[in-house]
Amino acid sequence: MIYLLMFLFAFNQNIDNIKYSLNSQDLASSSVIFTKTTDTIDFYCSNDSYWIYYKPELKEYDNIQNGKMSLSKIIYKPELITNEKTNHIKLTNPKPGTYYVSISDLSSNATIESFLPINLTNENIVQLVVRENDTYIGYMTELLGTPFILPPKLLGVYGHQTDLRIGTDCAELAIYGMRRMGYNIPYCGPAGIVKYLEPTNDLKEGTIIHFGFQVSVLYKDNGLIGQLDDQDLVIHAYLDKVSIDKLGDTGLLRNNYKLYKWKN
Amino acid sequence: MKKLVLFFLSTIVSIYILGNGGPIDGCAVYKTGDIILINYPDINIIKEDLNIKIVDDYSYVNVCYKLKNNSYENNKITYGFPVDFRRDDLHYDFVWLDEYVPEIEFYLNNKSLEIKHQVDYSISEVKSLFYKNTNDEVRRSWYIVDFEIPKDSTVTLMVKYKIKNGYEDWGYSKNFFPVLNDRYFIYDFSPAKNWGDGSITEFNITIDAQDIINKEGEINISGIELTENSGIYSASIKKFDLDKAPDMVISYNCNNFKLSQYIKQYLLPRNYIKEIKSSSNLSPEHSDKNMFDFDFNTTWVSRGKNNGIGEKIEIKLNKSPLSSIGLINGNMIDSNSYYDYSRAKKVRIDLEIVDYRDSTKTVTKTEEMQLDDIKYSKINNDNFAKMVSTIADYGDGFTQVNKITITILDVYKGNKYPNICITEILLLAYL
Repeated sequence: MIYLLMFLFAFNQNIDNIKYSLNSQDLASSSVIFTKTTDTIDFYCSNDSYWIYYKPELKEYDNIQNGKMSLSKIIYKPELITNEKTNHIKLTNPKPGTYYVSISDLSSNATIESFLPINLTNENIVQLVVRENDTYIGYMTELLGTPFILPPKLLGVYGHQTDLRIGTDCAELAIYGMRRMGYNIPYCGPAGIVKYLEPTNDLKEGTIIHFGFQVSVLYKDNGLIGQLDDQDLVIHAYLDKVSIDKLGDTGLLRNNYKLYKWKN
Repeated sequence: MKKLVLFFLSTIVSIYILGNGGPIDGCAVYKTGDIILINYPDINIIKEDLNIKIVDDYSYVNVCYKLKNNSYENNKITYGFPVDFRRDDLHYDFVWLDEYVPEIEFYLNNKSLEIKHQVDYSISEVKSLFYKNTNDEVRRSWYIVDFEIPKDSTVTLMVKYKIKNGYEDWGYSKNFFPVLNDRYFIYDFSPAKNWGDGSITEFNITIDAQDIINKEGEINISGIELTENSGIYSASIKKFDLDKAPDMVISYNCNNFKLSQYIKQYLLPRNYIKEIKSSSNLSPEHSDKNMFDFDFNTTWVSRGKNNGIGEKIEIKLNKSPLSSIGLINGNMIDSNSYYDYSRAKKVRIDLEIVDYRDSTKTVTKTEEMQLDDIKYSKINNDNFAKMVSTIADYGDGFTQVNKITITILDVYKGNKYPNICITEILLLAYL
């Protein structure tokens, strides 16, 4: 039934195909656009439409239910980008993260619920992926604002939920940054990640802070330089989403931890 | 299944524990099946005897074909034996691993044949075993043999192999206990459908699942009608139609057994416990030490006040790691004893945790836990997880503990006696 509704909604909003350009350069149509925070993206459609974001409801989605693996559906709610119909929008200096850009005639603003990538299974939904820069930390910022999935799973032919930027958990976020840099590290959870790491005392951006049950990555060394303290910023999948948090606000410093860096 | 519910229905109250997970064990094998005649000469399968023995995560397959060459000339034959494997979370690289089929042998009239192995790296899609509306990617691994069957004669081809059954087990940091999923063995008859008239004159199948039954596991076999006797499933079919035969799917689990082994593996050694003290002991034979002897024939019995409500058990450790606490409730000697004495219904756990910033200090953590009233079931040292109640689960972490105090807040009242019994307290940790 949900798939039927999704199909009807997709059909209903099938006004035309979204086209776009990046920094005034037209791009071939694709369901994913990779950009940086310094970029400008223009979206076009041939008929005037309302432009919307599909925003995931941020919470912990549990892929383990009643002691069994299952796939939890992510809830995406439409949110207006434009209050009036137009055939063109311009996004300048977007914040890092993953966005779903779509068009609608507002006759139906149905919520989408799916564990599959909605940009690959619905028409006229484009995944806009924005990163800060081309560093390890920079690639991790692509997942900011995506929901926490425990644990993210391989969706058969579609790929892994973290590679698809549907959502992630703590260790998988740290691995995602490496995978985006071209390293073939499998998604293997907080216990499995350790074999790809080596202990370090050198605290700097990108250092893995392993709390056992939680993996965070140092985003910025604030406070006492070279020492982990409550002023430091970490990027991590924590509670309900991927976020950059002041360590002192997380409560994580109450726990013992180990520092790691990626093996060469 | 009952056991898993037991572990995961318990509510865990902890502000520290967050969840992150990953695959911990598995096998990407999707299916195997009848051998494929690659160069299509005029060969009939007169008889196939298929014997499968399932032991733990493996299937031991012994299949014997009686083949007849109906043509008027000797035929040089190439046979391929296919094993399909999936891309899964644990095997994301999607390459063939020899551990999937650690043993394989071909014999023609009892004479060993040379085997060539190759992997077809093209990818096809199959419906996911685990999730609706998704397809998995599979590749095919081939074991190939060449031999000759003289004209108008019959030979016996035997294929023996050990294959790891497909599964995915997961661990995640919120819980100490892993998520164990069903194992699958899928046998596809269709590869042989192009032989002769597409049928096997006489087909006999036996599946030995005694290991699963002995481990109190669950098994389900679909795709072929079988009769069962003491864990042995069998069928004999005349003119077995290979084209119409669906895949035979064997799914099973031994979760009670596997979780019992898991608990034993991570049981904190007795020498980590510095002191045990309880608020009362009925007698020296029923002392609190019985809860830490891993002997299910001994039990702690309280003195018999207020059905055990308010009784306390103190366990002193010395900066010991601790991931989870399990409890085997009641007097497990037999069913009557189990119900005659009170059993814990609600407990409070007070932990003295070493402050990692100053190891001379401790911080206190308190939790309350409701326990399910588990129906009595006989247990032994290999199969006991079904009777374990998880009263604390700290998941992964580097916590060091100096003292645990368990206080009985409520009980399932015994039918006969005012005392409370606890057979075992299991302190579990990654050392």
